[in-house]
Amino acid sequence: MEMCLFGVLFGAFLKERSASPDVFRDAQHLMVPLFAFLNTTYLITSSWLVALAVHATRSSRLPNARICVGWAIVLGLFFVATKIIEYWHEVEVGANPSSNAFFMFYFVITGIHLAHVIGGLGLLTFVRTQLKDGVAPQKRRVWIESGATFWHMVDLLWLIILSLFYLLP
Amino acid sequence: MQKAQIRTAIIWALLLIATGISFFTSHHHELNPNVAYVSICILSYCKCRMVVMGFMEVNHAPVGWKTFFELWMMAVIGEIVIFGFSTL
Repeated sequence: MEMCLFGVLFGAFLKERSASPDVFRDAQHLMVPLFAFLNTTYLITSSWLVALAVHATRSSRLPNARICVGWAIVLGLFFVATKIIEYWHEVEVGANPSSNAFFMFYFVITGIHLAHVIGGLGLLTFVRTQLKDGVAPQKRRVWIESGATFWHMVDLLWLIILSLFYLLP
Repeated sequence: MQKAQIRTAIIWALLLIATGISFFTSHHHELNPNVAYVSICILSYCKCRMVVMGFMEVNHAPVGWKTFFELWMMAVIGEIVIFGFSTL
């Protein structure tokens, strides 16, 4: 459902972009690529760590799984911090949701995505508590795989957001 | 399990490399904008597919889920190409 929602938002953004290319081009110049590059690195790496945690859980290497999920959460927190700094920078240069259509879409789409990141961090934190011997293996597996799927979806959506707002000429 | 860990590490490395190439393509203004646009679309599709098939392991999922994700990626990249190209 989330993916369909974002698909519709991406389509609406692109439609507006094709109607006002100059506005979108000028607005994109205010974006700072370094923030996007750092955030992409954080999310790709944390996704990798979560994938490793799933493999570790399957072979009952629970301490390894907990370490991987722990570091994935740390990188997710780096993402949140960098995003907040980036929002602050944008407001400082005069960009806000009412500036133009580009920034309206930017703040809405990345805001919803950020909410998913924060929710995903909460889910991963809970999943980490389930990666212990006292929890039934089947229940452990369900939690880590559900948490991993959600987190990878967050990463997947970011890869599209990256292209739309920072990369496409 | 070792094989799976190596595979996910390779996917991670490829994702980072593809991201670096995307940024270079986007900010290298000597490149033809059409070439840059298509390159970024292709790289985005490849990166999404690597996350979906490699990390999410949808390639081992039931056909319904595989179909959903493949269609979603094609639809999103497709709309980027169709709508976005008109601005170049």
